[in-house]
Amino acid sequence: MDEVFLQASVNGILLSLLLILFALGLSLVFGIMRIINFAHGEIYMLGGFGIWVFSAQHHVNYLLAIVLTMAAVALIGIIIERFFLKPFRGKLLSGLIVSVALILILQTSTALGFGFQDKAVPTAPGFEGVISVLGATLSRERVFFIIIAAVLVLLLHLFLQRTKPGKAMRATAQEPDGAALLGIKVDRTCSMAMGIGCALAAAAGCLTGTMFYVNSFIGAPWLMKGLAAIVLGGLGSIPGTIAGGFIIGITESYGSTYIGADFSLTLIFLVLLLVLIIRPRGLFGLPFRQ
Amino acid sequence: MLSRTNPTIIVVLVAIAILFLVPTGMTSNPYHLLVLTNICIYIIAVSGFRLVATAGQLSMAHSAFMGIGAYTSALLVTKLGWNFWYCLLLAGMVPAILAVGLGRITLRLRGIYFAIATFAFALVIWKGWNTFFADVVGRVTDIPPPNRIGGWEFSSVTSYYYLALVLMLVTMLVMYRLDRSRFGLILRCMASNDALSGSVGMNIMGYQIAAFAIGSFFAGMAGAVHVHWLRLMEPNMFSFTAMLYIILYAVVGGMKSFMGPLYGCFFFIGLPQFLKYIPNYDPKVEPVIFGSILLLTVRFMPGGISALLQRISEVIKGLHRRKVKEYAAT
Amino acid sequence: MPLLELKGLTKRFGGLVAVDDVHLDVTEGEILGIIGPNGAGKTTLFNVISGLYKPTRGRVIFKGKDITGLRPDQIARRGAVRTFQSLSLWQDLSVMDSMRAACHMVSGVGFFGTFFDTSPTRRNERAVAEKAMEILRFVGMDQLKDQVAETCSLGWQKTLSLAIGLASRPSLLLLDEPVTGLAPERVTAIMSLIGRVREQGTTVVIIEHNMRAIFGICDRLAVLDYGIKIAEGSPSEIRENEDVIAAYSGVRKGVS
Repeated sequence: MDEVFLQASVNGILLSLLLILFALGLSLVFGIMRIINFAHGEIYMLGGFGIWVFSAQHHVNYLLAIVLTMAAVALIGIIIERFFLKPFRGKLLSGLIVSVALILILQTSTALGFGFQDKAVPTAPGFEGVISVLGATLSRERVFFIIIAAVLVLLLHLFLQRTKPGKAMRATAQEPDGAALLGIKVDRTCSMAMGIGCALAAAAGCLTGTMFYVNSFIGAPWLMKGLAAIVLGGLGSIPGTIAGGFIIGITESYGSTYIGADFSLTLIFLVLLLVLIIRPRGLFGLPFRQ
Repeated sequence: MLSRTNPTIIVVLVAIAILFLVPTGMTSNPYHLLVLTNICIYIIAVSGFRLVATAGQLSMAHSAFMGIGAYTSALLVTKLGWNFWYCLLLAGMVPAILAVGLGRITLRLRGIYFAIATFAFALVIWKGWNTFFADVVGRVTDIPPPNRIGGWEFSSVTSYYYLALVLMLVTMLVMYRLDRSRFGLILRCMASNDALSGSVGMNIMGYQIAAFAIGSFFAGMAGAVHVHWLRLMEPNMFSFTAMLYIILYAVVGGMKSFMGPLYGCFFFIGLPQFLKYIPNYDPKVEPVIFGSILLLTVRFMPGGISALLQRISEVIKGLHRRKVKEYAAT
Repeated sequence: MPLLELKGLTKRFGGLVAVDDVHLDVTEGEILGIIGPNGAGKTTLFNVISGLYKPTRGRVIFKGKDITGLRPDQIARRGAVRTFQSLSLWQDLSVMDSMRAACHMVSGVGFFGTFFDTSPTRRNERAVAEKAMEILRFVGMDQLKDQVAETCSLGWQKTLSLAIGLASRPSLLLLDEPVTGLAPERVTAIMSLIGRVREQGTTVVIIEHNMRAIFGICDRLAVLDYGIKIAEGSPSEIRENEDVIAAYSGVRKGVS
């Protein structure tokens, strides 16, 4: 098989999975609290700094470092949710303004706290080097990351479908008043959704940060791609987010490989605009109220 | 007995007089004029944003429109040698026309979807400036000062300050009149309950497009005034960060009143001038401070500075009325 | 010629049929009531007539002209105005400002005139203010003109909603639950207002759950259930109609 094509495909799958992790966080928060957290990109950025602090600075075991980062960022997310998102549940435009404030605060504090230079995170021991798949050379790190990302998505799926808190979250997303009547603690569910969503974004930040680099401003492009994914898939729909994530990730990978990185990003934004014009509810979203 | 409007008019006239006299007064330090010029420019831009917000829509394309206006004017003046004053008008018209087109396709979408759609549009524009159009546009340098009008030149700090000041006052006057007109009432109705507004015969799409176009006109004009002041333009001057700050100035200043943008811009552009005097102050901390102020405002004082001032004036009027009653009773 | 004709109106949302092949004529000068159990599609029917929704099938003919698919403001300008059952006001506007807004169509100001504050527009605005006060006096709310809408009691809010509908002196007024949730005295007051509205030449169609109010004032009734018109006739006919009784008691005809 053509090596370039295979690498582009593998990259596409990896990028898609990472984008899905990120976008699922956005989707969960929107589904349960009806707010789009525009600061989600900064949460992802915090994940990148987390892995840098734990793995590169303190040499903690790589996988453990990911877990610690996810936990720490989840905690930060829950604090943000409790104090700044809770009063605005359902008020999208206020949520947008709060996000603006959070972006300013988080970007600047990390830049001041950690410095403006790009940070590198060394590849975890055991993941270096390349392996040969179907005759093509692939980075072992990336293959592992695909596995990690896929496992996380699967864990989320199982959580939502099989566990009691997960089902409570789905109930709250569909029918918040009904859920409250059934005794589901809506506040706790919202915090849980935020925590899980931030943890997933942080995981995406860890992996991407290791593959490339970390600085205070890596969040913005991811926010844009994440928005594209959830709008394309349909706001509030988990399968939609996954579908949207794959479409965008694969497009970006093939686009970057064969056409050019900038062009493919512009293409994604144009797609977002077109989706909003032609079919605002996306692939799997509920029909729009006119 | 002073009628209710007189004190306000006197205060306004005095304030305008002070603004005109600044260059000749004690603060003839040119640096202060630069700060004030910057404030005036942003008041124009943020006023446009606030107008669109009054209709219930947050235009995330606002800073991109500033950039489009800036490029329009900068390129026409440097590459084609056109007269600045016509270019200034065009700098407003081009974004307005684009807004009509963009509005027709996106204003059907409510609230957050309109914000995302304008955001996507802005992303395409910002990416374009940095990539495809970089050869066409890129950095524009050596922008000449505005052409003379009669005996007036505009190449000095002071004269450009007057230009910005006059444009700002014109903008504020326009916003004031729009707010008080039927158009202002219609916008407030649409933001409050658009279904009801339609059912009493208001052409929702038409008025929203109008608000979007007018707001974007002021964005473009502000962008042009900005780059002709700096005499240079770069693609990243009007991008995502600028958009965040426009939202910041508008929200904290107060979205309900036409004075909001003025308060917001004076507060956030003026404040750092005073913070400088704190020992060991690092201006890089500003975004954190500003972000925190924004959070506190949205949470505890959503009407912003203009709402706060209105409440204060109501309290004062209440006390005054009580005093009058007491005197009358004695 | 009937003032309003609904020809085979159908509205689907995905798989759900909210309004199913409804034929209905409204005669000029009558008060027609539309009743039916919750979820029967009554408000959806109003939404289709007033242009908020486009029907999946069927047509709406008003004053002999096809208005299907027109925008709500276009339909309003032709003389068909509707009110809303909830979210029926501009909550943060004062009563007077609400009425000024409601008089939009009769303000005499064109699209571009709205932007300015010149003497012709100021004269128009004075005329508008007078028209607004006239209506407020008609409904008995002239003392409340400076009160903010959301601070009014439910009874006055419903009255304001009616006043907003009347502002443009429409030929056809579609009232969606004008008295639901109100105390009996208030209900009587508003129903008598509606009677006077009809006397002044406006045709009225009312959706209501308050049976006593509806049976008291309507000339005719139409009954919807699951989106289908199951009965039509005078109040006494409807009262005896078996299908109507079955619909309200939850028993579907033909299902044991």
